[in-house]
Amino acid sequence: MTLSTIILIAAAIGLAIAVWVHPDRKLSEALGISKRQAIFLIPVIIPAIISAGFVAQLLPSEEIGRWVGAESGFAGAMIAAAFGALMPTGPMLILPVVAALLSANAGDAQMMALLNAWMMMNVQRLLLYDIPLAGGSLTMRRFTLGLVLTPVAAVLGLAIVG
Amino acid sequence: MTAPDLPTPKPAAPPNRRGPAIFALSLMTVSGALCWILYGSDTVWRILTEDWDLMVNVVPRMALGVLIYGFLTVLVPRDWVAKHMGRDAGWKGIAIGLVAGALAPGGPWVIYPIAAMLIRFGAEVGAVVTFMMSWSVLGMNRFLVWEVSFLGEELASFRLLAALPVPIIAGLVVRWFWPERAWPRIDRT
Repeated sequence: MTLSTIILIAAAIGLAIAVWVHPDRKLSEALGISKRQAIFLIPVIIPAIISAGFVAQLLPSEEIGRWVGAESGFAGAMIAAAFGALMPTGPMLILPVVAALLSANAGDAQMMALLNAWMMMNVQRLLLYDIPLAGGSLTMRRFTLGLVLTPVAAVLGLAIVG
Repeated sequence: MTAPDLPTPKPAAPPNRRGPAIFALSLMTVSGALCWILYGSDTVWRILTEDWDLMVNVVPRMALGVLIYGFLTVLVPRDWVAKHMGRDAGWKGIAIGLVAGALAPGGPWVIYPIAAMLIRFGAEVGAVVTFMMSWSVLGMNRFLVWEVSFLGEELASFRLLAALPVPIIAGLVVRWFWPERAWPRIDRT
């Protein structure tokens, strides 16, 4: 069993106890929220995982290696980051795709840049959630910071992975 | 609890609940059919066997992640967070934003209403930006459930490490160089 699995199990047990002893919170309420979330996720994650294998087989690994492989350095990381910012999907789809890219010769640091850019400045989320829910002013600040900090995180990533 | 609870954000219901499932099913069908046509049925079966290993790894984690998500949603003391992220909070505001963002459950449809509410209840903008950035790049639920499953512990941790300073820098940049008085248009209704 890996460390992260142990952390997840410990967190689930600890939080369940916290909800159970909390005077104003009900376990059934929490489990209801979990159930709705599971009903949403199951039909997404199972086809997404199956797709990951097919997509990895179909991707042109030589081309991917040339553009965003381990040798592509900072420029490759920025190409990957642009893809990350533009890819319109949630974690249950983008992580299988990144797993597929990794098995098709993409570099570690480049995929880290892709994910960081997807997290900080995903364009779909910007239009659907940031602007309507957080307002243009806050969105503008966050996106500008994303533009500056994505390269910073990429440089750190390249330094860590080499 | 002394302060009255802030209104709970609407239950986690993404606006288009069927969209991602339809997309994933279409992707599976199209990519599977292409593999069958281009590489034949043997390759398709080999890939399905490999996918099964991945599934065994992901699904139990996903179940745990979903449980944690439900528990956190009912537990997070939103009133406390808003009170301690106020304009006099200083470094404490940034620190709370960092930790709260990393632990906050849910997708954008939950987090953005919380961020808007924090602003409305008087939280400082730099701390709120740290909160949102921290949720974006350091989200623990996504990290433990999704990233570790698909990237492995090592690569996922490296990415987290590279992104660790980002929310703090973002919050401080907004606080120092782009403070609220320069941007009077933030809604505080």
